[in-house]
Amino acid sequence: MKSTKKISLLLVVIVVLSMALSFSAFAAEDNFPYSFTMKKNCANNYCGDSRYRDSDKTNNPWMVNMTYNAEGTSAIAIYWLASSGITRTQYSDVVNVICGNGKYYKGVYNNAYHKNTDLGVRNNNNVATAYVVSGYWDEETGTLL
Amino acid sequence: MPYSIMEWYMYSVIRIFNDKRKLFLIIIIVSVMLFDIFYKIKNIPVGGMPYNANLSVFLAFTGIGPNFHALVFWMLPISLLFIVSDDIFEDFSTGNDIVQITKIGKKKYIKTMLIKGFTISFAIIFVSLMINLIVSHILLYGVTKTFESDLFKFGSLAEVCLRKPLLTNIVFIFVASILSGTIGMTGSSMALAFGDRKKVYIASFLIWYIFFIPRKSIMLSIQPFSEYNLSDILPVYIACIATHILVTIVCVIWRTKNDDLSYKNQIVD
Repeated sequence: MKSTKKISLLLVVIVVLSMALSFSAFAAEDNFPYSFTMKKNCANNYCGDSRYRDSDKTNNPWMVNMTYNAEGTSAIAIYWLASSGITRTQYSDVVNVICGNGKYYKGVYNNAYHKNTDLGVRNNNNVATAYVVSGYWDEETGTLL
Repeated sequence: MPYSIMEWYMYSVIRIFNDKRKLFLIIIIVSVMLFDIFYKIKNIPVGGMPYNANLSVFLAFTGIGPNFHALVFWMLPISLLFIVSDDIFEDFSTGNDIVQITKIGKKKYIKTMLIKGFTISFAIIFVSLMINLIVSHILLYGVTKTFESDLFKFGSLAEVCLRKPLLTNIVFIFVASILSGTIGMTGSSMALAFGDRKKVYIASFLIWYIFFIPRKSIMLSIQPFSEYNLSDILPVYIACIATHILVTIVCVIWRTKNDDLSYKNQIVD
């Protein structure tokens, strides 16, 4: 009887711990790989791999790290956090990201609480050529700004 | 001489502004540049913050709204041709050019039309970009936000641009306006030489797209605060201006050699 109590207690502890760990993992910084086309003529394009942002803080930043840009070894692209779906809402200010320059963090607007988010990209030059961009991003990093 | 070039020039300028369709197009160009700055500040209520006034100008191209930049610059030859050289086609069809040439002489007529083509195209783009710059400075007064990226690593041009942002903007406004002026002048010269709307519009569009389509596009040369250096943007800018001037010279020589162009046109019509 005692042992069953102990086992059930252990189980409860394990479940609670795993839940706590999973929550902390949810808010921690991840590196989700992305690779998509930065469209020509400065049309906006989106990653398409939408992620749920469970935060209600504007200073819980999203992150982008562009590691490859076909335009050049250190070319600039404009990134922002957008809503997922057909009609896109802008959820954050834009970031001018230099390729291979490390991670960029940015806060969000107050309309981005508990929403499905997507990564938007646009070339910072108005040119008629499309380029492929790739790297890593995260919709919420947990490290408050 | 009954008329001086100046009088004739003023007459042709007033003629442009008396035409409501051309005036409408000029107003559209000015308002597109104004919409651009309004669109950049639209996210302020939900917590957004645009870049400072110098980085938010039309030419810097930092927003992600509708591509207003494209509305003006992709079709630049078409809109400029319509504004500055449409009266040349009108003159061809009505025979008014013969009247004008008889009054002031052929060389003066051609000269006036070229000067008008350059100055009006220059002025339209220059004034609308300056209005955009001034409105940007008024609306974004006190905003200090700058680029997240350290553009200094790109070398000389980006460094100079960021150290003197206002001067950079004014220089690039001149660069864009001179480009527009040259396109307007070439459009006028082709209008004088061919006298046919279809040919002129297609030809000027073709010349523009030769420089617009490549990776090192002419668009890069009119954008301040970009990652490109002078070695990238200067060759294409010079090549574009030189080609336009070359076409202008050929067209002027062609028009001077062919006296009865307008007369032939009327017979065909």
